[in-house]
Amino acid sequence: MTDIIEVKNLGVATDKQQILSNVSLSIPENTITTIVGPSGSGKSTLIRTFNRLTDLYPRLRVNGEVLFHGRSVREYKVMLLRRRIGLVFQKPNPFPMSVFDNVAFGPKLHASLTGSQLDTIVEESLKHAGLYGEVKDNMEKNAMDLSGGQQQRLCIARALAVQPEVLMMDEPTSSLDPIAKSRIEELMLRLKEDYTVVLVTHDIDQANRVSDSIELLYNGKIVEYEKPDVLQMPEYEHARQFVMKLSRQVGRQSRSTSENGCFVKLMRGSLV
Amino acid sequence: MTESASKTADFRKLMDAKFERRVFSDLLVRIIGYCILGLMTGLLLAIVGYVAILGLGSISFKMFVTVGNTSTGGLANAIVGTWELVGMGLLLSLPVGVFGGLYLSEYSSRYTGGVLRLFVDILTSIPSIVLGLFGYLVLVIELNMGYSLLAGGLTLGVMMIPYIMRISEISYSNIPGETREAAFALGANSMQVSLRLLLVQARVGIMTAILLSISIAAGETAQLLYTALFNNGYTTGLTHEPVAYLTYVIWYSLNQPTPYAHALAYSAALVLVSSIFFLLLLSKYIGRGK
Amino acid sequence: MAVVPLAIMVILFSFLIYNAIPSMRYSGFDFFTSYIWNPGMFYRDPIMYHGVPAPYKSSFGMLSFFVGTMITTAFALVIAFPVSIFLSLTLNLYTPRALRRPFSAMVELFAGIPSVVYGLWGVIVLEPILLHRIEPWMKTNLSFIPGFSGEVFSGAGIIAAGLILGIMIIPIVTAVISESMASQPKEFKEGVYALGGTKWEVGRHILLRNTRRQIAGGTLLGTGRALGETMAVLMVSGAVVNVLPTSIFSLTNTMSAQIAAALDSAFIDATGMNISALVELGVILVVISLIANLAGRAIAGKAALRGYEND
Repeated sequence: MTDIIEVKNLGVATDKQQILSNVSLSIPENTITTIVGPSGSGKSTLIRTFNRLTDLYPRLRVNGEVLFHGRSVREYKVMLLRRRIGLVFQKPNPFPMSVFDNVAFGPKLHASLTGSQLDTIVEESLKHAGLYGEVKDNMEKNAMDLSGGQQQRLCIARALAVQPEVLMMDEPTSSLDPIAKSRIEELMLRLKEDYTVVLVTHDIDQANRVSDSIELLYNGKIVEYEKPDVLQMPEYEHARQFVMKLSRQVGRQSRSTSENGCFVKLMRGSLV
Repeated sequence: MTESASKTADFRKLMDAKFERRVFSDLLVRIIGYCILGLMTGLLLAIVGYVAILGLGSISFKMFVTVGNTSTGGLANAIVGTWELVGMGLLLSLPVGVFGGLYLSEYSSRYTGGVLRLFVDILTSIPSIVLGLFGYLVLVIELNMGYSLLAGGLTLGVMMIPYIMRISEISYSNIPGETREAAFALGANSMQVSLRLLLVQARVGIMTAILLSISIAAGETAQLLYTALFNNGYTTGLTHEPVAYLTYVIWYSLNQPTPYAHALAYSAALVLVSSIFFLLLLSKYIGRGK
Repeated sequence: MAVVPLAIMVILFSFLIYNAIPSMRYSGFDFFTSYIWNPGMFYRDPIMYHGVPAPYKSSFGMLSFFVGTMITTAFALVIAFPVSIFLSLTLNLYTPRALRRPFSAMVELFAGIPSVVYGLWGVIVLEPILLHRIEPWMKTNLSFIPGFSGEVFSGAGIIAAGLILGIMIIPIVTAVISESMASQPKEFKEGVYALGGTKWEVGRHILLRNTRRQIAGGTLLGTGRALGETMAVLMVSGAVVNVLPTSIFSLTNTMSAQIAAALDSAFIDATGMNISALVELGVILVVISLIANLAGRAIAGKAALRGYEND
């Protein structure tokens, strides 16, 4: 399996503080890679370096490298890079326009399409995001009138409509109720057939439910929690509770999946 | 490859087709925007620079100490008169604005507040020449003040009220509720909270409002033409004694045929613009935290 | 204290309307349809007409001033609207954070320049340029456009007044638009960027699209300001009476400038009819500018408060 994104010695800092330091990880194609960590650990900043959304904030100094298909993201045209690496935000942020216009927004920017092509793209994207059945009779409805869960799936459809290769989701369920949350988790599992999914969450249970591999980010650093002595290191003293829970959960899930006879790559470099 | 994946691949080929066009239109808008920003900067420099060059070329120390009649003499009476008029305006607008703003922010109900604010907005919408006409009809004629410091100053004051009232209202309402609650919890009554706490806390906002309204009032002409008229000397009385002011010198002297009258106009413009810019930048500096 | 503005407004309107009554009775509907403004002969015996005394041969029609006000205001909007939109877009999208405040402050400084100083600059700098360079060029090269063929007078007139008015209202229109663009939620902008949008696409689809109300409101506030502006227009319009403009090069006059210019001689009229007519002109001006200002404030909502700092 090839790595679609590779991060090498990435550091991000403002004038006042270091947000990320010496982060290295790789994200294989057609998997769900989850980055977990407590809030404030730099998860969102990390994935925003992948599509260079960090460029919007000149105060952030980024060093180290992020490779997309083996080439530094700096070498891509930023508009095209962001088209290929989609991002779904923590808070659903549909544009204040109709459902159709929301999904058609990206394709209209990037491509000259006929009306029927656009209709097909919108329909396919909504189907992919599992929203089509609910909105197909009322595509002109204002997106702001949808429920929170529907809005988030609309945002996923909007991100998918520009045909990205990677779909990053930044805590996509943290503002949703349990039912909406589980629908989006099911959706993620389906999406990884066609896309590479990068999930950011502080919800360890969610990470365990959907991930193919889990990276733990703590205080801006990747914790190599699978190595036996790491838990005992004094710098992770406060993270220990978090880490303990994660390892226990991962252990449980790995058992259950192996009972089904599937091999799932759970951790970096090691098949469980 | 699944069916949806192949469709995705088909759509993917269509993307990125408009790249060059999009980069170009972004660049075009950016260039137009910068050109207009540059044009505005140039225009400001052209206007201010021109006034500065003309003014510096004609101003002399003597103009600050001698009185003038728009074609001979100096600007001393106009400078003093401008400040007298603005001061008179503040005398009316400061208490009305500061306490009226306090009422709007702290005491008014939704409905009464809405109605009163509407009238403040109406007051700002009245063209200055109509305020001048009103000042003439009511103050000069009806209340028999004559062309005077009182008539001109009060007319200016009417114009200054909305600025002071709305800006100080905003600065009261920006004071967090906890600050008030803390004071009430210490046993302060509503009047004490208003006077001791809110006025002190909002002092920066009130100060910027005052500076701003002074800078606007000092540049006004139309209200004063028929309320203050003009005076070839200093004004010492409140009523029945016209007042000189800088904007009148600029307007009137420019229509005089002699070069010295023009020199007076340029100098008056320089004095006025530099005072106003000083006040505006000072108010920006004081209110910079916001 | 908060009642003071209300009280002032009540007194102002009652005084204005009371003083306008003689003129309304004397001129009637002709006030709106005639463009002849003749103060009359003050040294002849006054005449009685509809029960009110007026100077011999006097007649009052506001049409030429009304047309002048509308044309110069429209001209000002044609200048100020695009400039303000582009300024707001540039300040919100392209200007580096460190330069944003100085540039906004610069735009606000335009609001600080007194009306008479604009007038002075208009008379000394703008009029000669218009007269010797721009207007002759326009006449030779643009005469195919209706209204662009006519005699070039003195540099004063519609173009000069419109330009100066336009420059004067740019700060207020820009302040309202720029403020409402700046208050657009970060989520929308990031949403467009995350889809691969350019800055201009963020501007077009988010900033411009979502602030249409405030753009309309800010423009109306600017309109209100332009309608009532007096001194600068008085100095650069040519201040003619009894003339309707025939081309864009024509001299003109506005309602506010006419009040300022004619009040002086109106005092001499013993019948008071001249003053009454000017007051009626003022009442109409107030009504028009009130409509523009209040509609602007209502439409623009909170963003209009920025107008107080840039009026």
